[in-house]
Amino acid sequence: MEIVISFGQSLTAVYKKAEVQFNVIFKLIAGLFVFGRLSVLSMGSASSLYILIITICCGVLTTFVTPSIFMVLAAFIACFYLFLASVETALAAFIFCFLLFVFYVHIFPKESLVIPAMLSAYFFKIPYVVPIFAALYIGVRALVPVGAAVFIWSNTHLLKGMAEITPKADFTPVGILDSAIKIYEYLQPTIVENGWHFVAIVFCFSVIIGWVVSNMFVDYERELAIVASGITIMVGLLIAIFFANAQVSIIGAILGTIISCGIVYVVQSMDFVLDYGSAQRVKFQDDNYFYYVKAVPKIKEAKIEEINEETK
Amino acid sequence: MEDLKKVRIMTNLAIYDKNHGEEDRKITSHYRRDYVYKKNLRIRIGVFLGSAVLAMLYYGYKLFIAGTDIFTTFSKAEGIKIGTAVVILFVIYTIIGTVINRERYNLAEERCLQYEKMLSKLNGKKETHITKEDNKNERT
Repeated sequence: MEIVISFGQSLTAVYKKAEVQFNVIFKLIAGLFVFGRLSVLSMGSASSLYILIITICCGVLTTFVTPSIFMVLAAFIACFYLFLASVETALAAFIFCFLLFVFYVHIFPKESLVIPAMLSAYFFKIPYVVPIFAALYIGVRALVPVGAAVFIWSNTHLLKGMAEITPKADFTPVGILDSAIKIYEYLQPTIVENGWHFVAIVFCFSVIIGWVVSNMFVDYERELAIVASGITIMVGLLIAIFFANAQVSIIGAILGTIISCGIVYVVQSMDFVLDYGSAQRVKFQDDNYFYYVKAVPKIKEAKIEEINEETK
Repeated sequence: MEDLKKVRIMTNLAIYDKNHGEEDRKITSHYRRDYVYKKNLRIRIGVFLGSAVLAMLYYGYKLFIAGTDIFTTFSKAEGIKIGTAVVILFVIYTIIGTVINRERYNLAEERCLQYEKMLSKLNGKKETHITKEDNKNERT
């Protein structure tokens, strides 16, 4: 525990020296990663140069836009890439993104960042880290984005099939109704069969259970919450695999959950050490002087002593 | 150089102005009820548009995929079903919007109060009990 604390302090010290620059770099990397992954939706319809320009421009925009604008931009770029392959598929994706925006993103812009976070975690094979993290830090507001992310990840592969059924070359405004029927007939059996809704229910349960445990007045409530969420995910996924035909690997589920629990444990241990108040540069004046001030929040030493006393 | 205490207060005031000041003044320039109503109106417009899209998809499914005839699809019973669902959605989102925006307003008002207290301290005024109403009247 003390090793984690001292590591957290060293990390904070390095981070605080150039906080603004670090934030810009992290946002840029996240933006480039997200928009780079979205380029897969073009299905070869766009040239590499085109994709590179869009990815870099959107990555740069990510560094200074708000969360809701970032989500709108990501949805717009995803629909644009799909439009290059199939108009009807782009329209279906646009309707989905529009509904998600009006019913959730518009009201909870910061919590909706769970969606790209979870899709990125899926890419790195540790999607379980997001529901466990959300249980501690977001709570029940994370249920919708977690469920939406599971739906998106489980069914993105269907977009290729939809684009093949309704290619852009065959698009006519008159034929849009026939295309919609074809898309429905293609999607309806596949979406129900792949068991994504069971996985979504399991993740949502783990968020609820983790949140309930973390709000209990017991010792080590956060650690218990992580364990409770992890066990819920493991047991729930095993049930989903055996009884509901969910497309999840057993070993991946168990290993992934254990690793995710470890990651969230380390992050929450450093939580009190990393002060979320950022360094501020302000300027003001009075009758005699101009003041240029940099205010850097202190690391909370008192909390560290409290934790050390508890562990003794 | 002014004494350090004053510089600290001025720094805290400047930090507040930079991070929350403008937004908090915009929020608290309205009465709580007006602010919540305005925000809820935007949410309701979004929910209305979303409901319209969902209704169109539902009717499209009924007509072209389930093959129901047009009279059954646009019957009174179906209309009541859709209308009830839309009303329930409106109620749920109004409750959610009210809770969130009230919380936002309360936080902004609290921060403004703290700001006014720091300002009084800086100006060397005796700290009087500043109420939320005084704060609002002064600002408007």
